[in-house]
Amino acid sequence: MPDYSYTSGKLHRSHLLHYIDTSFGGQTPSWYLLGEDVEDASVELNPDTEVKKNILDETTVQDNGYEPSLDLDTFYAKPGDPLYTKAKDIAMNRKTGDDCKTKVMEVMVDKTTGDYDAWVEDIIFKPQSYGGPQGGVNIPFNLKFDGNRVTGTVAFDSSTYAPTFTETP
Amino acid sequence: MNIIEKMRALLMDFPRIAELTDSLHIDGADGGIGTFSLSPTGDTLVSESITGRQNRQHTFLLSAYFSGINDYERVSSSGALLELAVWLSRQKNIPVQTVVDNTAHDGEITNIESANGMLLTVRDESAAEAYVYQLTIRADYTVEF
Repeated sequence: MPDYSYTSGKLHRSHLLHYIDTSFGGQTPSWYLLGEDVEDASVELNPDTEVKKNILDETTVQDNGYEPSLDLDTFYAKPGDPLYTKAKDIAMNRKTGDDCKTKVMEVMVDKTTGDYDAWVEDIIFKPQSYGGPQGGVNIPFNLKFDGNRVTGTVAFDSSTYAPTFTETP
Repeated sequence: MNIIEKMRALLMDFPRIAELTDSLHIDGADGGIGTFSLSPTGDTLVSESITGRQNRQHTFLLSAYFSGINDYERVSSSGALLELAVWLSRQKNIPVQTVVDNTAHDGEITNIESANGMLLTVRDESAAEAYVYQLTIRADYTVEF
């Protein structure tokens, strides 16, 4: 279970939480915590910058923004798991486009008490393969961040730790 | 049950355990024929997921005291350990709890492997005494902190 509060020192990896909305476009998001069997995962920002030099030998940098994505290399198929249901449908039925679109919520637990800073953004959920070695059916997937980023805060339920996101006006 | 208690309980669930022993002790047996001893030999943190779940490994040494007065008995003893090793490898997703600071954390045994199922020694070098066989067991388990 992650650390749902921060005390002191450097942040644990489990202080940075990523949730995916398993309703995939439903009226009420159903946040699912990612990373149960994952030991290493990072949001790759993939910054896109371009260096240009004009005829006066002046250098300028054109910043074209970011193309963030998140790879999770381990996601074991577990019947009854809400994300497995969607991953199975998308992978096995070769779903594309809006069928793969949902939201990701990033929470940074860097305060001793809530509410915690959080961001919600559209993503494209893409299983990369299915199968893997003996031990379990693995469906690694990629989340491609797709804009509409919203800043807000998250409060965790005191018993279930279910997150509730509130957009900052 | 913690990993040690669970492993002991699991061994007692082995379908042939009743014909092998009726007493599975922890860290020592009386040495009589038909007694078993399970000794925990260490616990290691193997990895930790990004959500804080620990993957741990606990090792055990199982000592089994069998009668070995002839080839028939000795083949039977080694065969029993072989069967136990294979049976253990098929046990998956077994709930287990780890208590830390008076709080029980859920987890599960994800994998069990065993090795060295063989004769360790013959007590007093006498065929009339118990033949001591050993089986090393490694249990991979998780702890949800």
